[in-house]
Amino acid sequence: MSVGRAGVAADWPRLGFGVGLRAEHYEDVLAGAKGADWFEVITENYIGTRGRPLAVLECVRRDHPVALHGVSLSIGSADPLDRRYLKALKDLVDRIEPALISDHLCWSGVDGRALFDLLPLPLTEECLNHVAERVRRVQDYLGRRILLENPSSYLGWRASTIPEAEFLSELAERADCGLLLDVNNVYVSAVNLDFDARAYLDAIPAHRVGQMHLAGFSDMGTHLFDTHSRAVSDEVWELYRHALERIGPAASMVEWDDEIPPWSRLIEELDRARQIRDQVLFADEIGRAAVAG
Amino acid sequence: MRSAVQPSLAELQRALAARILSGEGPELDSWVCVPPATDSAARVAVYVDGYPARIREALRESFPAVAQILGDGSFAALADRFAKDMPAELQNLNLVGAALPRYLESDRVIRDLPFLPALAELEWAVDRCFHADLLPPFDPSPCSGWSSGDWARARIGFQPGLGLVCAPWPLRELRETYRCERSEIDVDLVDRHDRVLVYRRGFDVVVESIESAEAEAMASLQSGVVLGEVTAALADSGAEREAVAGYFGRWASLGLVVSCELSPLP
Repeated sequence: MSVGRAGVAADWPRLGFGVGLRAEHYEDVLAGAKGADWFEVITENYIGTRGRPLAVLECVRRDHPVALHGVSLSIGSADPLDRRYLKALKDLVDRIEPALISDHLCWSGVDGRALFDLLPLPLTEECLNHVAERVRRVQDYLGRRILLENPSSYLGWRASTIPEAEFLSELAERADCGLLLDVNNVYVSAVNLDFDARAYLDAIPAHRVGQMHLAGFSDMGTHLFDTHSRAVSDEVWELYRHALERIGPAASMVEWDDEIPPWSRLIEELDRARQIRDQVLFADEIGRAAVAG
Repeated sequence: MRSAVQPSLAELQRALAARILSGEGPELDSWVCVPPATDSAARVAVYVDGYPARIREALRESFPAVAQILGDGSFAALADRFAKDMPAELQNLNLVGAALPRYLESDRVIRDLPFLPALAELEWAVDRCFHADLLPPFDPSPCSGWSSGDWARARIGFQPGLGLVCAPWPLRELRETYRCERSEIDVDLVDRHDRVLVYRRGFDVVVESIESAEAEAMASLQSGVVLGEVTAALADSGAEREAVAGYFGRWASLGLVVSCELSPLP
């Protein structure tokens, strides 16, 4: 793999700035609403459907890159990988030919019971081996690499022996997978579990990051909750700036899944991300010119 | 290295799953790590509370009329009972409602609202129809040379999303209650049998009431009974012989019929 100037691996597609494709915006998007370079969809919403959602997705795909973002792979579960889910995922991948495929570093069920959540893993050597081996199998089955996202966490496990950023870094090397860096999740987890968010970002291998997420959280008083129901916070924008400085212009997108705003409001968030990207890259160019000159 | 008291990956997952699904399982305090002065039980509760909340949300989306008729509190209580009694095996939250109609048949809410299982069945049929494949309609040209004997042993295939729900309640009117305020719901339930056909027209789902003879014919054909037997059964019950031909023509014109195959001769 070749590594680009800002540490971005050259073989991750540079998609620009995208948004999550949600039913509330179907009409806007089909009418050609501007502002998003690409779209991310929740994989499960397009598995097992042959109705309007899939037709809309195929229509969008004709004009834009699409990323599939799953919530059910349950890559860290002690259960065997779900073959039915993998088959359905592969069918969708073959049909949509997405630019990126991602899921989460988590588990979502055990003993055949679905729990519909992104549950925290004990970050141990045992778990690292387990997850890396499963990621390799998933990638072999799909015939391409996937990205794994850092989850929002509300608790850690005493059994954990490896910091999460280090765990992800080692996982990406062992499994040869990519990372989806959710900047909002880094901030939420950092506040909830009391770690340094910037140090976390600094420990992430830039060349493994294929995509970044931005989103809003809710302050529950005792903890931050990853609700995707509001604008990106100032703290997360600052972290995003830091991530861009370290990682470079990886494909970035805004998730807004609850209390979904009008299309124009969503694009305002994307434009702010673009503005920060421009500032970071401009500063980078000035700095390089100064060193060269 | 893990200390002696720390669980394996599977033990830890089973413990948290038991807490989420039933509120039981081993004590998690000694396994959980949170910052000083943080209530670890409250952090575990974020995950424990999330499970029924997601089930409630998914069911509310699939069963808007059932939710409206029950009201927020009763519907949430039903969803919580369902979540506890019917742990999901499929990871896709969009499919969690599949078991609700059958679950309602033995739930206490039907003492006052006996039509709820049938209404839920209709709402689930609408949900599935929305997502179903829309196959090319039946091409009659290969059957142009069929004799009447051939037609008698024909088996009809329908669109995969086609639904038929029959009940002694005004199902279509009950389904419409999701559009109005709960306080305005006023549906006469007495002697209001309904047979509701659910099908796709393009990407839209159509819900329409049909006559009992048509419903009977369609139910038989859907279950694999050949056309001749369906026609004979309808004639025995007093229907016109031509009626089935009329129904068939209507279904074909709506694109509901996708195949017509000859069953083997006896």
